[in-house]
Amino acid sequence: MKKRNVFFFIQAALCILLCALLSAGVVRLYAEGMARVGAGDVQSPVFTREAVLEKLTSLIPLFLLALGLLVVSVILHIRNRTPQVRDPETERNLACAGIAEPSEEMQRERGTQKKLSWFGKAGAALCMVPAVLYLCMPSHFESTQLEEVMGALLLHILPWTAAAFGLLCVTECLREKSMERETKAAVVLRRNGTSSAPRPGEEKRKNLDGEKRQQWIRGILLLAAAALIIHGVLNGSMRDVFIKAVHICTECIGLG
Amino acid sequence: MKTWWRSHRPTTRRLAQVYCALLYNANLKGFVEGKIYTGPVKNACVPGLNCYSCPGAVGACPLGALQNAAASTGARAGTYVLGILMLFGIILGRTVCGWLCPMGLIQELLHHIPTPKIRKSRITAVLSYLKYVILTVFVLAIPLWYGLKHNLPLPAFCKYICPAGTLEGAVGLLANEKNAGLFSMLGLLFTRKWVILLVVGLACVFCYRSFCRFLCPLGAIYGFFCRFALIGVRVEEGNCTRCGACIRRCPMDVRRVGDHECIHCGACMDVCPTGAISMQCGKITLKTSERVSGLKADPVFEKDQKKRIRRGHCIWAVLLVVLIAALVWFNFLAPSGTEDGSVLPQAEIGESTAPVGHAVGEQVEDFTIATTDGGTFHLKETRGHVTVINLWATYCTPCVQELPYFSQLAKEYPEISILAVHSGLVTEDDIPGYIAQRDWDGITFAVDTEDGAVYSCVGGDALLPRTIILNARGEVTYNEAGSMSHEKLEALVQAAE
Repeated sequence: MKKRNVFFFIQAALCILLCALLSAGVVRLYAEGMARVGAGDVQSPVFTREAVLEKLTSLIPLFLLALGLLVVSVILHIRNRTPQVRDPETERNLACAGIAEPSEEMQRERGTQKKLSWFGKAGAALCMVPAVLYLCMPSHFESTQLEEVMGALLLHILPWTAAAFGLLCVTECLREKSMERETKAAVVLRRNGTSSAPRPGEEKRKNLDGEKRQQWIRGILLLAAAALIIHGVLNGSMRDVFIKAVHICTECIGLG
Repeated sequence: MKTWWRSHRPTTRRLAQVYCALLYNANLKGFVEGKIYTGPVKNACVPGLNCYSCPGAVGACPLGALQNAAASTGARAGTYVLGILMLFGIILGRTVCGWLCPMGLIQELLHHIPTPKIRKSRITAVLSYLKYVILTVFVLAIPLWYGLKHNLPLPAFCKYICPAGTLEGAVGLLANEKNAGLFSMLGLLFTRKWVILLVVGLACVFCYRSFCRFLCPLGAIYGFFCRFALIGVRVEEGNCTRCGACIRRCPMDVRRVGDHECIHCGACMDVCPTGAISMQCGKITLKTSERVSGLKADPVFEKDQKKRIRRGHCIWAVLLVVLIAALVWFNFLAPSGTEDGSVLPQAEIGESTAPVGHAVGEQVEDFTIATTDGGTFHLKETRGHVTVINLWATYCTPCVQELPYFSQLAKEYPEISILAVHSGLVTEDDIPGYIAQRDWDGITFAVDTEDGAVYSCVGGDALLPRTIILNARGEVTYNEAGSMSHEKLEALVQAAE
């Protein structure tokens, strides 16, 4: 393994460890605090500044180590940017550009991609139906015990959302494979000389009408935005924003 | 050294991000004082995601304001926030995400930590649609439902997900020693949000802009305007060879340059072999690729480029002046929105010899306030028994949720006085009507004056809810912000007795 990669893995391990310890520290403080409250000491705060500082202080060496490695990486110019990836769709489009008559294999793959796309979207939509139905039932949101409501909401929505996204991911991966096969077929077709090579700017289509329409829509939207703002200033919704902004809602920022 | 600097010097985009982070949080003295800015500039929303409870924040968060507007739809339509979001969307679109969002800056800096990185793929492309689910459920549906049905303001995204609120608001306030009292209100909510913050932060180290790509509803909103945004990267169709270099280089899940996932960072401009991509504002070219060798020799191009650079320098000079002016204004000249009135004359009240103030051990200065039922509440008349004062507001979720505990307390301890004072800043037009809809018997309700006279007396500030408990001699035995449970309230009253 390259020295560079070892460095990356050490840095990654440090980041994960630091986050895990920070999370665990807070969870532990919470558990200890709740145990005190459970024992009848309801006035005792779950968290105290001293306890939090103590936990944070114990993590300073690890934090400094991670920071030191970061400084070293900056000085030595060790970087690991997000790698460039090949996009199968673009590659497919590039390979297929200029092919007037696609081969049978290409057509078959295109059909497969279309089917997969529809299957993924329809399946995801179906998966989301129970979640949407749950959201549409007013009886699920009658209680003002928000923790219970949110818990139940997550319990009913999360699995279906995960299933929908999971299905989409699977179909997208299959589509990607199909695109790769289509690209290969297109390359073979091109090599056999049965199609013309793509010319730069071949698909150029300057739609002036579309641009004009876009400008019109932009203008209308701008006017609508200005009208909404003026209406908001007059009906008091700007004041609502101000009032909310100058007060700290302790729950909204996670204080409790 | 020169090579090092060349590869590490901040790009224009990075400078713009830092600039915006500073401008949105120009109230630097807030970090020192541990208080938030409460001046009139907070009427305006900033384009990026920046929590308005951050001690430095000088503007309102558009996402928080949108949830609040959704929650108060029953009273009035939140057209102001809709208009502001629309305006930002049409002018800037997702350029806000790439250039003007402090959360974007934090995510990108975290991603600079050298670790193995997760590549974008079809899976990340699918996951990028998750933010639309979050927008629908947490930003629109839940606040709208609870606002309309229960008259309960519930900004679900802020409360259950937003890492910006935890980082800038909660951590920003807790970091100041003067807010040590806030630690007493931390509990499950903080634990959960802290873990979410760490998970999001860790994800950003490995996966470029994870929060922005998969979770941020603000990006989802701006994404709707991608086709109409005035400013953004544009592809000159005539010069495009469809080589796909731009898509390969882009770290976001874009399918084509300028689509709803594109944050207009301009990274694609440098890899385009034909220089077909440029940053445009309408028909004006703001930035173009400098790597197109063929074009560099063109005298017209060179002239244009020089013009652009000169224009860029002028814009930066103006922006710098604006930033300096903002920093000077917010930190030295702006009048403080709320004074907590901690310096009060000493007076002898009743039998107590404690100094007048609002801290534990001090006695609260006498005040008189008109109640919502048409009567008057005199603090002096409550001497001889315990008094509980609660500071609340209709737009504060925990405030509304904890008031039933005070009502229950009133039934169990009929001898004590319970006064709930609504903030002087009122959004509900009919507070007595709002109270009448609820079963909050035993509590005396009042609305503070606009200058916050009662809030000043009892030490109320921007933090809501707050509970103050006075013993029989009018001395403060408890004065803290944060939600109350019935058990805690009962224990505090017993202690005061």
